Amino acid sequence: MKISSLMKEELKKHFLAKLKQRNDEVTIVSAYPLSSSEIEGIKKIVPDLKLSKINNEVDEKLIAGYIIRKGSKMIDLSLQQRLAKLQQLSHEAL
Amino acid sequence: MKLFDQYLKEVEKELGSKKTQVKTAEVGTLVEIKDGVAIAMGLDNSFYGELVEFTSGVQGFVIELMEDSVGIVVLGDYLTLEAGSRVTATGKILSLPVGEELLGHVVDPLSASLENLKLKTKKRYPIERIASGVVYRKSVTVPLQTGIKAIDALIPIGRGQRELIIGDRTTGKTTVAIDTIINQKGKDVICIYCAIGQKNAKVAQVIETLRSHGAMDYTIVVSSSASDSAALQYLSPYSATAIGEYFLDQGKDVLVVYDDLTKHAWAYRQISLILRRPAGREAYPGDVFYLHSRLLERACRITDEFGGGSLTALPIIETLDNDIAAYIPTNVISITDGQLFLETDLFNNGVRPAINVGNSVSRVGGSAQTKAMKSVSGRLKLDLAQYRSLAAFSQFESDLDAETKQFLNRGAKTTQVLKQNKHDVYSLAEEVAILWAAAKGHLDSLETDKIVEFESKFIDSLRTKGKDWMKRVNANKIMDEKDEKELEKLVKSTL
Repeated sequence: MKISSLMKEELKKHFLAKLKQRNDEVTIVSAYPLSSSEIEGIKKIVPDLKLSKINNEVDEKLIAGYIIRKGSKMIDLSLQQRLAKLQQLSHEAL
Repeated sequence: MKLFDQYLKEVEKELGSKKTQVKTAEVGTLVEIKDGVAIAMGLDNSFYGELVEFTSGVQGFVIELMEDSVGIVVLGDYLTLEAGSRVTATGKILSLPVGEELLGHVVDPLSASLENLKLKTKKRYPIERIASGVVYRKSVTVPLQTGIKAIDALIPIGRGQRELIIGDRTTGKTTVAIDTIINQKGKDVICIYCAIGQKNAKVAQVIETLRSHGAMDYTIVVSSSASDSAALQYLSPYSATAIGEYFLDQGKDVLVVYDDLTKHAWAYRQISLILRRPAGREAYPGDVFYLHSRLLERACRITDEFGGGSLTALPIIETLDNDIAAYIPTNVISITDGQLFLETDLFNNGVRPAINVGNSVSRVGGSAQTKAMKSVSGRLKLDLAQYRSLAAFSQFESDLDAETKQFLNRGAKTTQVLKQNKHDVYSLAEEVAILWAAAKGHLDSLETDKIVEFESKFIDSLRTKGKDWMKRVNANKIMDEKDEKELEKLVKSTL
């Protein structure tokens, strides 16, 4: 099936709009669901978050800590990442 | 146990030195992995040529920025990568450690030692750099002696020149380049041999040759073998040039040999096809000309005002069936300042180095030739040109006049004199002496198959009896009447 070029344009516009919207949102990934007070706590440390809509995702692999993500920017404060760094370091020191 | 303690201490030190830093990182997600090339979503603010890191610690660099994804060339083992894993941008442009510490070592295109040594370099240089502009450059004036009679006399190369070595397989292309490196001993030239897509056995052989001639002291070997990823093969000539530029910036003379650019073009073709870039002639991408022109443009000779120094490039191209009109050969021929054309027929006829003097040119090297060499090479060129034009039709005619016979005789003798054993490099004075003997007609009366014998005897007596003469010519780079008379005496005593 061939998609008409008009439809393609519309689809593209729609996806780009969606992408933009998603880029404005902030996702906090944590090892367990965060309570609203915990999110408030994070907001205090990172004042830039105050204006954005915040999603909470759960990823048990993080073990502890959290990751803040906005668009392609990311702040990684998880234990997983620190352990990975330690692993890398112990390899390099050899 | 002691080693283990030391190791722990090292880790502790590293950990202690870094406080927990909160850093915003630019990340993306790996969505596609093809042979050596990865496609990632995200990385919205990454730039062309940026170094990125995968979760496994493998690095890569951005080679394509698409609307919503980026193409990344993986430097290292791409089999460990997983789709869906994170890619972190480092904010650094692709660069490599450079310095004097690399001298005498064999390194990969990211200048990690292939001998598992820790090379303590202090500086980093970007792998890609825009070539020096016109204000910084001056024309070639100093010769780069190759130590090969045929080249130094007929197709002279100057420091800062780009001279292509082109020919079929097993015609002695690498040998010409290696001999040139060997001849740079004590001439204050840093040499870099860059192997691209070569067999490891061949590279090992080259290194062994350089080492046995004491050439490794001033040479760096940058190697990406046939089993390395296309990405590393693609990078290695740029890396070699970057290492060369470090020495260039210190006002030194550098010689870089790229062995060979055909395989480099193949590696780039592979990457481009995987990235689905439109394929052109012979399936090479549209920018394959720029691939080599931006590399060879980095060869230059800098004015003294900006520190001096030069970077001479000797790219090698392998042809199929002597076809110099193929795509990549014509491209590189048009980029370089001349070419040395090596032929299988000549090689099999025992003319080694198998340089086709008629098809080989050096567009700028002539102005860099020393006076001593110029005084003999002019006559030599003339003799050879006449010989070539006469040799073709003289085969059909039986009775030739005396003059033609003399031309043919002289030509045959000169061709003999231009033969040279591999790795047996000549100093300027030695070259001048033997070529002078041929050009002045002293060898005309000798039989053709006695020339080689005469030459070895002559060089021997030159190295013993003519020691002072050699010293003088090598130092002054000029031959006056007195020198010529002395040389004539030497030639006659050997004959």
